[in-house]
Amino acid sequence: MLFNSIDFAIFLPIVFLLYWFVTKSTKKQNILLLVASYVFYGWWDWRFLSLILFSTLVDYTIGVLLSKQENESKRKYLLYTSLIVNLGLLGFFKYYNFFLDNFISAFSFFGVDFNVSTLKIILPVGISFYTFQTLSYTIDVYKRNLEPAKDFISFATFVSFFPQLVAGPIERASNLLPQFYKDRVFDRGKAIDGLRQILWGLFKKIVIADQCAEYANLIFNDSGNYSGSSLVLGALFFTFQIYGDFSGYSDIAIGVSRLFGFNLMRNFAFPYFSRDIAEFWRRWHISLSTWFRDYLYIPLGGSKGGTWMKVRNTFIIFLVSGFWHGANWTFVIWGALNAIYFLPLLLLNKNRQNIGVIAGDRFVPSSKELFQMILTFVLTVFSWIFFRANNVSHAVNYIKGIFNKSLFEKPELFPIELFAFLLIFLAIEWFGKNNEYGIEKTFVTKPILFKWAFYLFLVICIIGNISNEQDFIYFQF
Amino acid sequence: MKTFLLKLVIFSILVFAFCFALSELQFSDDFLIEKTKGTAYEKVGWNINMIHNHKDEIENSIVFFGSSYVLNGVNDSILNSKGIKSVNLAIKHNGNDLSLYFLKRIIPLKPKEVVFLKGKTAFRNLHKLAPLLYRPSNLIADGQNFNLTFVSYLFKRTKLSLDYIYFEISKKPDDGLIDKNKFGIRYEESFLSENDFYDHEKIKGLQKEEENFNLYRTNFLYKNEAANPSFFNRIKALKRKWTLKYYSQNDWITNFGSQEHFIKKAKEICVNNEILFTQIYMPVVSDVVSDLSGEETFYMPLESDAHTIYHLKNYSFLNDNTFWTDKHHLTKKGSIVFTNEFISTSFSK
Repeated sequence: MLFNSIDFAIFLPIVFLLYWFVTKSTKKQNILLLVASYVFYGWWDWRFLSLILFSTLVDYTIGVLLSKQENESKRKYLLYTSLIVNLGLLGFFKYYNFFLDNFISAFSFFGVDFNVSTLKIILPVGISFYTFQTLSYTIDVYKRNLEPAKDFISFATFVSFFPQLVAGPIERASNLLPQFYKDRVFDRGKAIDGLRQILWGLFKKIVIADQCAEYANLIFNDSGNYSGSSLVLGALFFTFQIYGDFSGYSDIAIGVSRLFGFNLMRNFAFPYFSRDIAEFWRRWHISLSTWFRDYLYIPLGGSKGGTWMKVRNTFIIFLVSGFWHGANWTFVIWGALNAIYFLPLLLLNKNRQNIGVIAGDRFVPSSKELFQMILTFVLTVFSWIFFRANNVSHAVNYIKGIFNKSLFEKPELFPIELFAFLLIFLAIEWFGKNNEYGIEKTFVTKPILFKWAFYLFLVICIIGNISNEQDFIYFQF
Repeated sequence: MKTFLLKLVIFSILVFAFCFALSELQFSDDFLIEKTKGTAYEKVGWNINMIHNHKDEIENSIVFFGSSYVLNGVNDSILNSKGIKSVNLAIKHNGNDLSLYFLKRIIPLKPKEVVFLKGKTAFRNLHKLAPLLYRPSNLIADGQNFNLTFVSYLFKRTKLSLDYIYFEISKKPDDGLIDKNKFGIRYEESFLSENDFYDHEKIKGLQKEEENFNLYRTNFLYKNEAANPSFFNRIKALKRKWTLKYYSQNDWITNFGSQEHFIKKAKEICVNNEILFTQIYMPVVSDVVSDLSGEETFYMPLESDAHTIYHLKNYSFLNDNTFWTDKHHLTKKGSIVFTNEFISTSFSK
């Protein structure tokens, strides 16, 4: 079920009303959320519910066994079992054909031919997200940082919680799981805030991402026939598409969770206003970046070792992050590019020089901040070309196409309406950069008519830009 | 909680009212043509051209409305050549609302008879062009109920209204769109292969689909189940009956009832203007290869069916793969054969 579908528009109010008016106890509310989450996921393909259930059963059982086991080597075996099962499923569904293809290509390069056919494997939606979520639980229980789940229903609901099941934020068990044990009381302020964040998420998805997608797809799918200036626009549109799409999803997920009394972690913090790549990665897909930091980068030694260790660990984390996004070399190169951007900052110990929000409370950034922001943005746009391209040669040709004299020609496509929306969007985000999300405080203190007129404007923009329901990009990861 | 829900309801009503008001903008014909140009609905431009520039071709004619079944199947050139003055105004996809829209526009041109398509099953939803053609108040006046279909329609209409405002601001005064859209009916060149046409397993599959629409005539039991009316089969039949009653015919979800209202409205308009209202059943491949000539009806009867419905019952004359583009649509050759048979059966007097 898509957040931007009529199905979800019917599903959400039904679950909301049942949750607050029919199921009075926490246990019953959890059961309702579990059933709703399975319906939400099964709407796409009910067969893959068995995967979620299997993963849930395995990790719940291992969590219980870990809490009872004192023998360290046996505890390790239990942890390895969870890692093998979860990463095995992920590897099979997501990477099997990729490895097989590359294996065959590598051997054929040396003149050895294998006659192995690839499998027609459907990638279950959200598998990368819920796999990482369950893994974090088992690792935390193994490290004794977390008590194992108190009951199966709470744990199963934690794994499958519908607002963030298919595209995150990838929640830590230490944050989300305890919320399933506590009594939830309806909080009007929180619910209104949730609705506001849903509205902003829909605006980002439908008005920004889907409209940018139209032009980005047009240009990327036929990149050989566009001028350099249009190719730059294509990359720019994709840059806003992926941000609007993914952060829009996260906003809706967080907003929906608030309606049910839950707090999810922040996933995006205005990343395109970053002053360097290190700051960008503290603001982009925060739940994944911190996951890799805590469960991969720090166990590898982090930035504590010598220069070689820092370089190695940085590359590992960015390459794995790229590979997490998909079984394609383009994602690996995208990861490597970001590692190259990041390394100088790390080696010069400048990776934490921009911790606060750009320009603070000022409306206008300083010229230095502006320069840093534009430079970081340009580097990011460049790396997105690899992320969006169909394959490496497509990306290389795309970049070659940019750097010729047609770069200074008038672009073939110049959608003024879309530029107007992008300007409005950036202005709202800039004004709201000190808050959790763009419109968190916009006009909140103003009279109700003023406030509602603004919300109505957003709703009309959303309705005015509805095209066919477009999948969220991150579903494929 | 109550305050929260109350405010939410008030805001939703506000959004709805705003959308409704905006959707009341009357779109110009130029906009309708511009929006459908180069799409599957390009025929809209042709119809509008007929209404504006070829009024005499509609006056005192038999005017055919409906979906691609009629568009590809009823050959008005053949009808005209046999002295039956007619014009085919059908447009792709189903929906009596679309037919009703064009019927209302041709009333001043005084047609002799209007023929709507009779579907094998009742139409659901709205025609995809309803948001473009209908203002919400007109749609309601024509019989649309307030349901999910209407809400979805209204949002689409709102989007189109915003597009229309932009169109009016940016359009050049000398667009002259109407005259550029004379193209008539475009038939598909290809036809079904013999393998596909005579693949009886596939045809059986098609018949199974059609049997679903006719289950009301067998107490909701399939033929094989009717031979063995066990308790389990009866439970299944009850489930189907419930599904049909509460899903297929539930206007809240499917717009089934509203589609029937559109037919009633069309009949009412025709009666008031002394125009004959009829419907036509268009055959599909399974009607040709099946021996259905003994069947009373091939379609689901409705309350509004008390008028002439043209259906030939025996379609074996279309037993040739070159007559069919696919399992539902006739080729040009097929349409000529069908129209000739239709003339000799229905207009011989």
